[in-house]
Order: sequence, then structure tokens, then C-alpha cells
Amino acid sequence: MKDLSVFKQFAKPSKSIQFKTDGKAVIYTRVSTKEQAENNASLETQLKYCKELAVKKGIEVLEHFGGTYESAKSDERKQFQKMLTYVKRRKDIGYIIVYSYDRFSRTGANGAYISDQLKKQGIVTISATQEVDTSTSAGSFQQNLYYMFSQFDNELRRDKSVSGMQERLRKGYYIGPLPFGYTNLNPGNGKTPNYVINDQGKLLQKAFLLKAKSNLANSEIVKKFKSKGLNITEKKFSKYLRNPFYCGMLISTLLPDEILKGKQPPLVSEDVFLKINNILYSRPQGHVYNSEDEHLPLKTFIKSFECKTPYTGYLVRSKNLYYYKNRRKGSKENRSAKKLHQTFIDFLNDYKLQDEKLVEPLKEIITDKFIELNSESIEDAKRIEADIENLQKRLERLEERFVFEEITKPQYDKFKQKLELEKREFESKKLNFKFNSSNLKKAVDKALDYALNLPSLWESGNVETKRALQYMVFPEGIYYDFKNHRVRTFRVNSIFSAIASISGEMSGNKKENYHSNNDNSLEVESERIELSSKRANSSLSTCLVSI
Amino acid sequence: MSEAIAVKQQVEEQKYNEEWLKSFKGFENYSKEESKRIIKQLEMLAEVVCMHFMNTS
Repeated sequence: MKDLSVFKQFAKPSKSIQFKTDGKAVIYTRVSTKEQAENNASLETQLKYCKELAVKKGIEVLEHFGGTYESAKSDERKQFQKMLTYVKRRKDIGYIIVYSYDRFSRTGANGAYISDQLKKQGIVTISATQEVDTSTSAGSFQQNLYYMFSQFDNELRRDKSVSGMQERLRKGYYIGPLPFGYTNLNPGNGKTPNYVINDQGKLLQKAFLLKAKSNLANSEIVKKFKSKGLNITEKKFSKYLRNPFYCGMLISTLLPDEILKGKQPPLVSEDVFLKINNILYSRPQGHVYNSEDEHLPLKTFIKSFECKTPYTGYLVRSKNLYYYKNRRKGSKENRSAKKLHQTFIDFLNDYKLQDEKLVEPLKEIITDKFIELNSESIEDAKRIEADIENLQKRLERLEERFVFEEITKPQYDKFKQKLELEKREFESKKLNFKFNSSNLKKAVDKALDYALNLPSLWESGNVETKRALQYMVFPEGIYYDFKNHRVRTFRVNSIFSAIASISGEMSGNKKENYHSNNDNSLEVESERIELSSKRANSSLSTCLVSI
Repeated sequence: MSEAIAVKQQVEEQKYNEEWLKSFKGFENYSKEESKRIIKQLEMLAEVVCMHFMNTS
């Protein structure tokens, strides 16, 4: 037979994996929880076994990865990924040594896949306690079985743990870190928790109550309570307001669609919680105004009399001047914002509360509103007033004791100075409160002034105030007759009416038909005001004002 | 989450009602509907002026 060695050059190269049997190794160790990592015994044992295997096989260990806690439920582990990057980069790594295959991965098929990919690069994963020959099919199969079993074991544990947690939830105990404002006085595994509301929780409780009472913006409430020591962000506060845990309920993804009564003391009653959530869910998302809106508060509120399309606005950058413009295509209706605002102010100037008799109930509502909005400050002010009174009594008592020689002069001086200092501190604190009982009246009067002077309120208000006022007085907006330079409105809030110059004679008409009176008013105020159209009901009126 | 609970009941303030308005001079003969409408509008006005005061003071 001929020698075939001469044909060796034509032989097909081997496709089987070339293991780097002379390669070096890395060790990977891990535990699942922080407690295990801190205890460290397991990590040390794993490392010891891995090193022993390396010595036994005569493999040089280059690096040790892990050594900390990372759950193998996912393969997106920091140390694990670091190790994979390292072994893929180095050409001389032939082995990854682990204590057991469940240390490498517990993701089942994914773990087997990673191991297989490494194998294609000539890197073998070997276990110090589960020796298998991965160069054979049976060995590979066995290794994969270990991975699958690890995942199965994980899922079994998860099922057990979930049942335990569900059971605990059904008993009314919270799972996981307690929500803000609560402390567990009896922590620890197997112990019966004792949930209490802590100091932060007590402040949060007041913030909840304020929200329910006043419907103040969350940002305002957070700001208010920050000065009292409640350290939460607006975003967190918004989240807490929606968490039924605070009214004594328990909800969890472990028990979907279930609501349970918890063992925690409720921060607020169910009614208060529901009231807050009604406010939150019923209120449309507040409009966020931009700087352009600040300069163009009448945008969309004012409409073209001719085509009924709303006016929009724009900025002439070269002059830094704002203009209103009708949206209609080809429209040339442009008006300086400054001029149109003045027109609107003049127009508003013609309106006031319809009747004097509305002032008293309005005053009471404003007073109540102020008390609601400032209930916290008012309570604090009352507390401080009581403290001052108490200190005054103590000062008098001190003086009395000194007079009756129960205490010496140095003692009297010492305590008098101390008490007076305390009193002064309280008095200066009292001055910082905007709404103590004495200046509440001033605040109400000032607010009432605004209500009785609409142009001033509109002029001094921010865009939110301006728009709220506009739509409150003229719910359907106003129409601008560009050609004739006139403003017209079809509907006015019924608590407002045109002042005497416009409507003085209207009141005499029992049928509330303004039409005939308007004719008269036209004769008187023809240059400025034209009132027309029949008022359909008491809340309707029509004005045409020249500008 | 709690949306279902939140819409279950509406908790309303009851202070301002027809009787309350009638206690003021000039409103004695107002109907329930009229009172309700006026109260609502006064509350709106109070809200605007109070918020304005709070923002500016």
C-alpha cells in the first residue's frame, strides 16, 4: 500500500473544538444575598475548593471574579459580565472554575448557551464539586442538566417564597421595605411586625389632610412642609397620595387585583384618601404655561368676530414685542398685545359683582378658603401664641416667688433672662406667620378688594390667574371685531354685570330684556358702548365695546 | 391601582348650600338651583382671588 502521508496536506481540518488544555483559569464565586456575602463563609469555601481544583489539575489561576452577592436569576450580573469580557479578551484562558454549576448560572437554557459559546472559544466551565468531562457528549449533556436543574430549583424556591409572601400579605403584613412614614418596631424574620407612624409620617399625615382640605398644588404642600422638616420631593408626594397603604390597605403585584386590609395604622381615613384621589383623578392635567403664554394671556380666549377662529400670538423678535394674530388663513388681523390687553382691561373695567348682596357670602367663602389654605400656619401661630402666654405666666410666677423671697436675686435674674429670651424667640417666630388670626382679616379684605376690582386682579395676576379670571367672567371668551375695533361678548358670568354706565337702566327691566335698554344706552354711549341682543337667561348678556 | 376605589364615592363639602345662602340678606327667596349656581360661581371667584393673593403675598 502506498504511503498516504503525502496527501495529508489535502485532508480537511478538524471541526471539533480545540480546548486550551494548557490554558490558564479564572475563578468565579458568588452568593445570592447581602447577608451571605457579609457572613463570607460560603464565599471563602467556594474560593478554597476552586483553588484546590486548580492545583489538582495543575492550572494556573490568573484572576478571581465575583466574591460578592449577585443573584443568578439573571445573567446580567456585574461581576459575571466582567469575567466573561475578561476571558473573551484574553487568549490564554482555558477554564472558568466555579464551586458548582449553579454558581455559574441559574437561568437554565441561557446558562447552558453561555457555557456552550465559551466552549466554542475553547473555554471550559468546570465545577469543583460536580466533575464532568465536557469534552464528551455525555459530559456536555450532564453539564446542561446541572444548569437546567439549577433553574428548576430556583423556580421551586421562588414558588415556595411567593406562597409565603402571599400568605403574609393576606395576614395584613407588608412585604418589602416599609413605605415612607412608617417604622417596624419589631423587625426580624419570623417576628410579628409592629408598624407605627414615625415623625416623618406624622408630618406626611398633615400634608395629606391639607391636600384633602385645600386641594393645593402638590408643589405648594411640599414646600410648606419642607420648612417643618418633611423631606420629600413633589414626585414622591404625588406617589404617596396614590398609595392606599396610607389609608390602611395593602396592594401587591404578588396578589394582582386584590386589596387587603393591612395591619399598619392608617395615616388617613379611607374617606380622606378617596377624597384626595377623587381630586387627583377628576382634575384635568394642569396646563403648563410657557413664557409666550405669559405675554399672550388672551391667546385662544379672544376670537375673530368675523370668522370665529381664535387668535394666536407671536413675538416680533427684532422689537421684542408680542402681537395677537387671527389663525384664519390669509388673515391680516394683527394687533399689538399691549394694545389689546389695554382694551381688555378697559372692557373688564365695565364689569363688577352684580349685586352688593353678593359681597357678604363671598367674604365668608374667601375667609374659609384662607383658613383652609393656611390651616397649618394658623395652627402653628396659635401654638406659638399659647407658648408665649405660658412663658408670660412663668415670668409672673418667677417675679412672685422673688417678691416673696422664695428665690434669691441671682436665681431670679438667671431665670428671668432665660424666660425672656425664649419669649423673644417665640415672638419673632410669630411675626413670620403670614396668617395669624389678626392679619387674616387683612388678607380677606385684600382678596375681597381684588374680587371687586377685576382689572387690577387681571393686571397684577400671573398668566394662570389672568386666564382663570377671563374664563370665569366670560365663559365663552370674547370676540374681536377687528374692522370696527370692537370687543363683543355673548356670555357673562351671572354674578357679574356691566356697571351703571352700561347697564344702569337694565335693572329696571323686569323681563331682563336688554334689547330696548340697549337702544337707550346706545344713545348715551354711542361712541363707546353698544349693547345688543336679547338676553336669553339671567346669565347671558351681550356687549359691544368700541376700542 | 386605586382608580377603582377613588371613583367609588365622592366626598363633598356640605357647608355652602341653599340654607347657608338664605342666611344672607337678599337671598331669602332664591331657589335651590339658583343658590347652587351662585355658590359655585362665588367659590370660583374666591379660589381665583385667594390663589392670587397667595402667589403675590
